[in-house]
Amino acid sequence: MFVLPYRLSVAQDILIPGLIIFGAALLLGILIVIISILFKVPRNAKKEALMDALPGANCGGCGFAGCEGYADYLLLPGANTGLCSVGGAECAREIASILGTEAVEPEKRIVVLHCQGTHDHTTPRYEYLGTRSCHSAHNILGGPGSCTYGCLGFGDCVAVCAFDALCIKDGIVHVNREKCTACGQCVKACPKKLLRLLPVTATVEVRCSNEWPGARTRKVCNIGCIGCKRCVKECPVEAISMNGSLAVIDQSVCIHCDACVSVCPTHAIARLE
Amino acid sequence: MHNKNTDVLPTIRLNDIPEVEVSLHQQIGPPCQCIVAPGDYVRVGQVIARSDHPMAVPIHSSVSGTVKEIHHVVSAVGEPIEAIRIESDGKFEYDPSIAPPVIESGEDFVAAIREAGLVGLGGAAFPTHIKLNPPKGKEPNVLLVNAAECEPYITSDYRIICEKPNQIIDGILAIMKWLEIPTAIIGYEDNKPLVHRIFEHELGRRTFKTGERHDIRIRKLRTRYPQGAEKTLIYALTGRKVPPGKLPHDVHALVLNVSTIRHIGLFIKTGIPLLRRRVTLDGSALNIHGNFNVPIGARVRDVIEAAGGVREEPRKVIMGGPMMGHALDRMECGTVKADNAILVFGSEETTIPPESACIRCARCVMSCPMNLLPNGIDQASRRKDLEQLNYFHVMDCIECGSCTYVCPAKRFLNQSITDGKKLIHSEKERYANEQRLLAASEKVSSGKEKQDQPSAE
Repeated sequence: MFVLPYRLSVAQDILIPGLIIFGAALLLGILIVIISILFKVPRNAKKEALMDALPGANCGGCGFAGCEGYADYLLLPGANTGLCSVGGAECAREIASILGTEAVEPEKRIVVLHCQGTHDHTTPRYEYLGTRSCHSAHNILGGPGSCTYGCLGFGDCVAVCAFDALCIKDGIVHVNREKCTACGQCVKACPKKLLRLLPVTATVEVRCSNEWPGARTRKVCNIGCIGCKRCVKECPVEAISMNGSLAVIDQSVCIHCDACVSVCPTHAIARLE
Repeated sequence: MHNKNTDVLPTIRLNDIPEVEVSLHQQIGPPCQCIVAPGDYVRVGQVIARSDHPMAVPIHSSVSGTVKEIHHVVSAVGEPIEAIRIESDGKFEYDPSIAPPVIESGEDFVAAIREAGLVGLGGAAFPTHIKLNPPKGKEPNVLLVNAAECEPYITSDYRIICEKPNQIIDGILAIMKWLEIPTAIIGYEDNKPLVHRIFEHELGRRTFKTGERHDIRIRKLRTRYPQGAEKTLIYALTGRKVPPGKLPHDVHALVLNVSTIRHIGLFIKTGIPLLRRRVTLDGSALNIHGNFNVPIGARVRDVIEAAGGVREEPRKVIMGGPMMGHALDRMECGTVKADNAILVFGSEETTIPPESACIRCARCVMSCPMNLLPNGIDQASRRKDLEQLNYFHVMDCIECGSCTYVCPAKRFLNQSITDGKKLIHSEKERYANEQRLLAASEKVSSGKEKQDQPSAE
C-alpha cells in the first residue's frame, strides 16, 4: 500500500481543479465554434462529391497533384472527365453524372516492360556494389548488366507503385495485370524508359529496347531483338516497322494474329499475358 | 607518407605497347574531328585530330605506325566516343616538323600552348590555353603551382618533380614572362620534404637576367586530402576564397598542375607536344608497382601487361586515384591525357561494407572541404528533391569522396551526391528544351498571325 503524503480533501483537491479544467475546456470549445463560424470557408458541394467519386489513391496518374488537384481541374468548364485510369469507366461515368456532362471513358491501358533480360538471358558486365537503386546504377556506366538498355532490377518502379502491381523476379520487373491501373508512376520512375503504357487489348509486343545492331545485341542478350526484319515481312497488316535495328509494333493496326511471335528467332516478340 | 608506395621508384619508360586507342574526346568541351584515314602512316607528334571549337586542343599521335581504324567505342566513363586505333611499329620515329615554337607575345604563347595539346593533367582535363587566357580585367597576379598530389597511391607528379625539375622551372618562368605574372608559389604537402630541396637547388643554380621575373616561392602545406583541389589550394596558399560557381581567375589566381607546367617547359624548349605521361601503377593485384611513362592511348590491359602483369585476377581496376578516379568495366579502354594512375586491386582491398542508416554524427560535415552538408544533400538526392538540392548547393561539391571515406555508417554519400548533380543537369536540360520548344511554337504562331493579317486586310 502506498501512503499519500497528505490528507486528501475532496472539495479542495478534486472538485476545484476539475471545475477549472472543465470551465477552460468549455471556454475553448465555445471559442472554436465562434472562430469556425467567423472564418468559414465556403464548401463546394460539387467538389466534395467529385472527391468522393475519385479513387483517392493520389497517384498522380491524371497529371495533377493527387485527386484533389484533378477535382479542381474537373470544376473548370470543358474539363476532360476521362483522365483517371485508376477509377476507369465507372469513375468517369460518376464524374460525368456529377458534372452533368457526357462521360469520356478513359482508354484502358496497362504497363508493359520492354525487356525480357532475366539472369538466364544476360550476364553481368561488372559487379555493382553501390546504392540499390536503378537511378544510381544507371549513372554508373549505364548499369551493371551486359545490355545497357535492359532492366536493372533494383525496383525504382516497385517503390513508386501505389497498387502493389509490380515485383522483381530473376532480375527484371513483372507486372501484375489485375492490379495495374496504368497510373504511369512507374513509367516516370524508370531511368531506362522500359515501362511503357499499351492498350489493354494488345496481345503481342516487341519486348526489347536494344537499338544496337543484331550481332552486338546477340553478344549481350539471347532474347533481344536482333533486327532481322522477319516479323516485318511476316506481318499481314504491316503493323511492324523498324526503328534502326529494333522492331516496333503499331498496336492500333495489329490484328492479334500472332504471326510475328512464331517467326521471331530470338523470342523477343512475346505474347502479353 | 600516407598510403603512397611508389614514391621512391624511378619512372620506367614503357615502349612495349602493340597498339594505342586514342580517344577523340580528351578534354572538357566538344570532341575533335579525326584528320587521318585508315592506312595512313603516322609519326610520333603528328596531329591526328583537331577541332575549331575554342575549347578544343589538337590530339597528337603518341606512337609511330599505321592507322588501323577509326571506330566507335565506349569510353572509360561510359560515354560513346570515336577513337583512332594505331598499330605501333615500335620505332617511335618523331615527326620531322617538331621544332621549338617561335613566341614573341603573350598571344603567341597561348596559341602555341594550344597547339601542344595541353590539358590540365591533374585529372580534370580542362584545356590549359583557356586557363592561360583569362577574360579582360581578371588577369592573374599569382601563379599557383599545384604540387600537392594529395590523393593516396598517386606519385606520378612527385616523380616528375624528382626527375624533371629544370623543365618545371622553365615552364614556370615562361608563364610568368608571357602572362606578366609577378609571383609564383609552388605548394607541396609536408609528406614530400624533398620537393622543397629539389626546387631550391634548381633555382639556386640558375642565373637570371635583369628584369626577368623569377619571384618563385616554395610553400609547405599540411598533408590533408583534398589539399590539391583547386579552390582549397588557392585558399591555403593565398587566403583568397573563390565564391560558389566562380573560377580561380575571379580571384586573380592561376592554378596549374606541376605536370602541366612541366609539359609547357618541355614544349617551349623542344616543341614536343603532349604525347606521353607518367602513370602510377599500384594495387594488391599487381606483380610490380611503380611509375611508368606510357604513350597516351595505350590500353589499360597492355600497360598492366608491359609493366609486369597481375598476380591475381583483378577485382577492381580504377583509372585515376582511389578517391576521384572511376572504376572500369573492362580493361580494353585506352588511357587519356588526364589519367595519372591505374590502380588494380584484388579481392582483399575491395570489400565494401553494407550501407546503414545515418547516425547524424556530422563527420561528413566536418570533413567536407567545400563546407557543404553531405548528409543533407544525400537525403535530398534520394528523395529527388531539386529544391533542397539547390538549397544545399549540391553543384559546389567537388566529388572528392572525403565524406564517404569518413562515414561510420558507410553511406554511399558520394554516389548519391553525384546522382543529385546529374538530376539537376537533366532537369536543366529538360527546362532548356521546353523553353526552346515554347519559343519555337511562339515564333510559329506569331508568324502565322503575321501571315493572317495581310489576308484579312
